[in-house]
Amino acid sequence: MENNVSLPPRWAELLLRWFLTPEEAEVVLGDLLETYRDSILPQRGRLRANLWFVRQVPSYALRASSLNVRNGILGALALCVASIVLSIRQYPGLLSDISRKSGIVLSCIEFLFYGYAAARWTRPMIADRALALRLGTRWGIARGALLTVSGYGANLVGGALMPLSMLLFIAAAAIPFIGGAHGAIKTNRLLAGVGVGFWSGLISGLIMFFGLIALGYILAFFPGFPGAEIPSKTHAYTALEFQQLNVADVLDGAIVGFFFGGLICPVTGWVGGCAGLLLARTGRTRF
Amino acid sequence: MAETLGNFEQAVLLAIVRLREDAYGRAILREVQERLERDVAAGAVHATLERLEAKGLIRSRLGLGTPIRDGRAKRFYRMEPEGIQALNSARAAVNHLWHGIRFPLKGYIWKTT
Repeated sequence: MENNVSLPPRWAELLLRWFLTPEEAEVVLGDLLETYRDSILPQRGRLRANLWFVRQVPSYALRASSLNVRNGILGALALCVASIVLSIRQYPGLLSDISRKSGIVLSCIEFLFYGYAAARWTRPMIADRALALRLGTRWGIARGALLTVSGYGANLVGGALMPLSMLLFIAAAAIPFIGGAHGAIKTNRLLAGVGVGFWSGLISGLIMFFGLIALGYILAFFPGFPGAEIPSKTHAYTALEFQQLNVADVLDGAIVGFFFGGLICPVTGWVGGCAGLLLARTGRTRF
Repeated sequence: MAETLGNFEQAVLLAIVRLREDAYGRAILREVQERLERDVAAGAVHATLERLEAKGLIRSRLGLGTPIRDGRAKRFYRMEPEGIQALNSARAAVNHLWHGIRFPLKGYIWKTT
């Protein structure tokens, strides 16, 4: 009866459950409830004890390893949508192109799917899936960084850096294959390769998306870079036209890259997984 | 080579050593707070325990719940040989650093004449 009276705020408990895996939540809530009833409530009274309980939620949430990936993806997806909306608001002419309009709609569908994936699949209970998520995140960060550096090198420096940019681009394209092989060899399961490819595609796509959007605004507002688009060489053009064309150019690139990267990476991860398993059978692996 | 441990990791491992069979989340938190003489976030201890387990220094098992926890399971921790080795190495490293120096230090005054 006593226990029913001394219950911490239900919403804080639900929030904590949302951040943790079901098994982890049971143990953590048990520890917190025991402390709450045993020492905090008798010493501090209900209001301060409830405040203590609420304060514990971020202390777990900020440290939950799976949460960092999930919140990172969800936050980045929200920022992607926000950057598209803000760009369209700034340059309404962006929507005049029908193929761009369709690209934006398709991307929004993909964003929704990825949001679902981040919310549902970033707390895996199976060790192989957890490993695929971890490896996919690492390879995805590496691929995103390579794609971004390659894009910046080609557009801001050009000339001498073009071969290096191409090389980085090729290396980035190979990463889901390598990651897929890595995952499959580690787990001896082909599906882990697909998982690594999927997560690496998603995470690298998000990094590349932001990198390219920022690049578009750099090209639009600081004329003179070799990668800048020029609306017309024969007619005079306004500053607004110049800005809109450059933002539109990279927005198209970001949308296409994100969309097709998301589709191709799991397939490449699968191919890499097949190669990895074949290699593992020959005993020539060092992972 | 033994794992290099941070101060907080050592505090958590030593709490497990002291608590023996009774080393579970809340008891470890209380022990760490008492030894460090400061308020420690429960989440910090939890994250450290997860990390130490991932490194193979400790092992955990689920135990039965109690009425005060509304029957929710406890997770009990125990040391692995690698954990004991890491603690011994950490202690030996500190001893080595302090070798030949009397504790507590008295104020040193450098004379430049």
